[in-house]
Amino acid sequence: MNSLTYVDPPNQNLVCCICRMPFVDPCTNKTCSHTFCRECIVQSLIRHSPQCPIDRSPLRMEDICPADPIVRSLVDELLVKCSNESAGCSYTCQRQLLDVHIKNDCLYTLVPCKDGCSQETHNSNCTGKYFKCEACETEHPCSARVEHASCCYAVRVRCPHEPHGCPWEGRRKDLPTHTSACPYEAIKGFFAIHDIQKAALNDENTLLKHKIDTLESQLRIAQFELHCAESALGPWFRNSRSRSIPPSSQLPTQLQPSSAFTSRPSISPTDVSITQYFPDMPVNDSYGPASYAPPEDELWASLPPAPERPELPSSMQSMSHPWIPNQNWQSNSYLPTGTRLNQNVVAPLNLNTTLEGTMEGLRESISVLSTSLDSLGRRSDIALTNETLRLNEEVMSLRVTMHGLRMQVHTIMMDRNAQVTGHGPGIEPLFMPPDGQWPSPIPNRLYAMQNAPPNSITKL
Amino acid sequence: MASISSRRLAKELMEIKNDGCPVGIDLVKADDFSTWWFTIEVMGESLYPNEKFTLQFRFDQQYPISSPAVQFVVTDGREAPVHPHVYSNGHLIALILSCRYVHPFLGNEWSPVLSVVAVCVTLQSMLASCKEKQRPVDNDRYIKHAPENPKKASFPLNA
Repeated sequence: MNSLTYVDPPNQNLVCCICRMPFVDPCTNKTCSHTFCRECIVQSLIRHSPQCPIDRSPLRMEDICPADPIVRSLVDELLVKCSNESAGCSYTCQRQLLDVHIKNDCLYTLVPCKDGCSQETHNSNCTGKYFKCEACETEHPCSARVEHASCCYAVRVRCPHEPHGCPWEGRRKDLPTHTSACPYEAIKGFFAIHDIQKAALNDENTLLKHKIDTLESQLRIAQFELHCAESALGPWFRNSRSRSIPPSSQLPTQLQPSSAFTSRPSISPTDVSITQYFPDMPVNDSYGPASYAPPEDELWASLPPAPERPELPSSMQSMSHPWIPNQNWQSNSYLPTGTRLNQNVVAPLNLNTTLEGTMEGLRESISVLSTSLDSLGRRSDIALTNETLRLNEEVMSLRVTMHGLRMQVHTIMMDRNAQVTGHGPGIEPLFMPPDGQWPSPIPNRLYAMQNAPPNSITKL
Repeated sequence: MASISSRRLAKELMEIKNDGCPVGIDLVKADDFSTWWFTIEVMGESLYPNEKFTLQFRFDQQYPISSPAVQFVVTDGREAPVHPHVYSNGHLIALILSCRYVHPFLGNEWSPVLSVVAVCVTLQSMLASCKEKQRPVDNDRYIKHAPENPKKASFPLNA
């Protein structure tokens, strides 16, 4: 083990500091964790000094324990050359397997000769021993056994064209005769070309198989993504796919009744049963769901606009007329009131159109909604202004009335005061204070008011 | 052990030839694995300007467990440096070359992990740090009784 030749320069971390070779039976110190070959550190402790050679810390034999299995594996798996390299063995193997090789396999290991030759030990390929070739019945040295088998003229061989189908088998010395007659030999050149082509085709085949594998996996990914998209899109997925197919003729015919119907302006509501008409109401694809109006309103819209609507609140009637016809949404659909408007925009989702169509429809409904909200706000603003003006007028009139009343009361009070104070002897007071004097005019006035005769109030 | 000694020395020799010696140290001869010669020169400012000394290493079969026998060559016109730790016969007082166990904190005696180049560098720095050129005090007495191999001599430990 100590005299092995390593194939590659070993990692410096696996080299024992004492012998400067990869660890053999590595051991680690418990005290300072340095690692050495077992033999090296034992010799150092016995022959040199009881301390670690690296850091000189005290070290006893008991502190030495086998190194980590990973270190042992690392050094055991280093590639080494066979110890019999000098004898001619070129075998290399992992260090841990070399013992088995030398013991069992190496042809250059010296062993006792069992064949009675004079030498005590020699190679297993004994040059002193001869074997008898069964084919040609001549004797050759054992060491030349392999060499002889490749050149013996009597040994049975097969035609070199056996891989291509030649069944010939015979002695080697007959081979030249066969070769000259072998039909496969005649097309030897073809075989060479054929083999090259076959190899190229095999390569191409492998390449194509690989490509197919790649494509299949890509297809699976694409299918999976498609499935994800399908589940994410929900009902619209199928619609958008069916829309790529040319639309059937059923759709336009379904559209016919509504357009024909709504275009008739003079039809009266009583002529049509609304409940009958409503479920059949088709949806034109070019319209978004928002532009779709419930039939009741369409009917209504088809009527000529009437100045008086029973639904209109009486307070708003007077002011709504001047501005409503100027609104865009109003001119489009003739939906006059806020309550009607709300019914219009909440149309059911149209699942029969594409996702884009639905989105467009939703967007339109939102825009209509915002417009109607805007007009509603303006209308309520005007109503509020009107109401405020009216209230202001009422307040003003009340204020005038109050003022008149106040003036009258004031006049009455002045009259009373004049009667009580100025013309006292004319009127007998019903009650005199104990001191015989009136303390001040104000309680006097109160007293007078309390005792005012009921007929004076009627003067108001 | 013979194999370990020679393989270890072969490895050191290969490293010296591949990587070269440190500055001021040169390999003179290493024909076998028993005796190597080096020249050693103190670089920079020192008491030994332009002086070149020759070191002799002798290895036994126990190397590197046992220390090499190191001494300055004093034959053929070569001389040992005048130094308090160098006898005039070329022997050295250096703990690094002592194979005896002393207290672990007292000295840097030989360790199997040291190498020939490491010893050279240590001696180079020993010369470089010299304050006064003089022989050891017991020089004359030692020379009279000194053995041929410095490892067999008994040095005072604290010299």
